[in-house]
Amino acid sequence: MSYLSGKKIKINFFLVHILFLALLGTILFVPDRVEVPSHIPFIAVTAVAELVIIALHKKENIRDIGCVVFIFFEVWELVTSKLVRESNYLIPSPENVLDIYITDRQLILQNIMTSTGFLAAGFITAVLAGLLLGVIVGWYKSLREIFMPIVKVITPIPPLIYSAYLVALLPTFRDASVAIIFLGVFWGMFLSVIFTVSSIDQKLLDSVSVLNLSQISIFLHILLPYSLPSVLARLSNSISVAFMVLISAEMLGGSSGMGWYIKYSTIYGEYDKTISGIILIAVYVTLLNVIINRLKKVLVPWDISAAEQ
Amino acid sequence: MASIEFKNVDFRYNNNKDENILHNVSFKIKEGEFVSIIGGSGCGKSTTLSLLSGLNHASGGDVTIDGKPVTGPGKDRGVVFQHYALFPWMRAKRNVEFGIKQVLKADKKTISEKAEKYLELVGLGGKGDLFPHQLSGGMQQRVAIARLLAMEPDILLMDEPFGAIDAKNRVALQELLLELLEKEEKKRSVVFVTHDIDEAILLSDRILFMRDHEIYRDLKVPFERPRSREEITVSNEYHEFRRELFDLFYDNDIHQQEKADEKQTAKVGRFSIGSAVGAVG
Ligand SMILES: Nc1ncnc2c1ncn2[C@@H]1O[C@H](COP(=O)(O)OP(=O)(O)OP(=O)(O)O)[C@@H](O)[C@H]1O
Ligand SMILES: [Mg+2]
Repeated sequence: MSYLSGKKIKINFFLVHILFLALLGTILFVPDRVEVPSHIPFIAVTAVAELVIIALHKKENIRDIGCVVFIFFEVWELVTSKLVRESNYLIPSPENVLDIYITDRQLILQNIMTSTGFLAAGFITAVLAGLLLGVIVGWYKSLREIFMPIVKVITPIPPLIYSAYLVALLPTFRDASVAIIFLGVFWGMFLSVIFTVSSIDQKLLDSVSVLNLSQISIFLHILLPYSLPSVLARLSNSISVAFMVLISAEMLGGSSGMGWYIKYSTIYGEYDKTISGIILIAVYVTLLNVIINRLKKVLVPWDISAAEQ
Repeated sequence: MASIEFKNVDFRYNNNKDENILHNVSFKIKEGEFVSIIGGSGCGKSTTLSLLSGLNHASGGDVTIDGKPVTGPGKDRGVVFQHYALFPWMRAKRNVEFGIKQVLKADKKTISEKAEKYLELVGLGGKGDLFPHQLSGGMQQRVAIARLLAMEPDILLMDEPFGAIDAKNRVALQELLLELLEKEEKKRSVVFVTHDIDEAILLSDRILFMRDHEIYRDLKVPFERPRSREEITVSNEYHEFRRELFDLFYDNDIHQQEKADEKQTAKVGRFSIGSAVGAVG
């Protein structure tokens, strides 16, 4: 048994590096059948991937993931520039896609900034408002009994439904986008905090009672930290919703932002731009999630479930 | 200033109006007195404390402190619960400081030093930076005790405070409590729930034994203060008194058993009548 598993690890261990070398060989030595921009960016990306695999070699699965990625790159490179006779504009080569990040970098950067600005404004206000109002409404039974049923009706409404109306209603596209993100994130957050606060442990309440805390102290020192872990747990989900809503709004009615960029390049048949935009969004959302996970560790070090992640 | 009186107190929980948890309970605790409550599990010890701390309100009768009825929690009283009740998001020391801040307006440094001192006293010096989930159950309980002592209330309400603590630390904490109470000028009253007879004898002036929703016995501990464990445990009196308390517990067990049997016979009786009627019908 141990012999078998040992052997398996060994094969895996080399496979990813063999695939890397094969990919490198393909890029460098197999002649291109069609004209593509410089190979250097693609080689750089591949090399970075290999370096990451080496750096994270202790992590389980990293080599398996690497194998899949390299095989994907290999196939992509082969079918778009090495084996075909004519370039198919619907499926651009990796060289073409990467080239966009160089030639079109100013426009891309500008659009990312726009989207980030909208996202930050809508998302941060929604989370803070959801937390503060949720704590207050969750704490007072009379408020809770009024708002809970209303919130339960509103929360399941898909936020995109508002978008066309909000674009018409609000003066600028920026206001509309921020409002849509806000509505997409706020209600779920609000409901979850109300629920968390209203189901607070009786033992905890007893120790709060006997300490004779002021209402402000209860909010600041008890209820806010108490609901923070559940807010942070929701955050990755919320940011995905916010981003989805924003990109859709931009595609529907925007004149800037990543959603607009992708839609615009698709309309004009510039699919290399489309694909580079999609990849960029994937990287962007992943980075946001990494930041959120860091935030969890910094903000709620007492939360056992967060510490274990 | 801290005398306590229960006068004909009845209590029922709101979610179970049929069962009298306390029935006609009356006792007085003088200022500076240390009173332990003992009795079988579920006899109403924690409930009695909750009426004193103001978390629950008597359904009948009066609970008063210095003649004034208890209407809710107050800064004159401090509580250690049977379960640990620290705030998970505060480090151990912050938990103690937070308690102090509720009763003492002082600068950060004073409060910090005070918290440090009491953590040291309960044997947790150097552990102040840990979160409750990083401490063992007994350690968490000791932090809660440190918080109570640091708040220096007139009345200490302690519900099996040493229950989860190992023998060595338990002895140390009992001694600490005796020492703290004796060396201070201000006289503090203590109501202390425990299952440990020796602990009750060592610490208290009086012991209330609860049974069937009532105070069944009110016993004076026959030792003067200050007292030490070594001194009292060698005396004959100690063993006689201990014996008396054990008998109470033992009688209690028999009593509970009889009550259970009675209920059983009552059920069986009804059942047989029922089936007889059924047979006739
Ligand atoms: N919140 C509650 N709601 C309803 N009944 C309760 C509640 N808390 C306790 N009781 C009941 O009141 C009775 C007395 O409970 P209490 O907690 O005072 O017992 P205790 O003497 O402290 O027991 P133990 O030694 O096990 O801690 C029990 O029969 C219990 O079932
Ligand atoms: Mg109890």
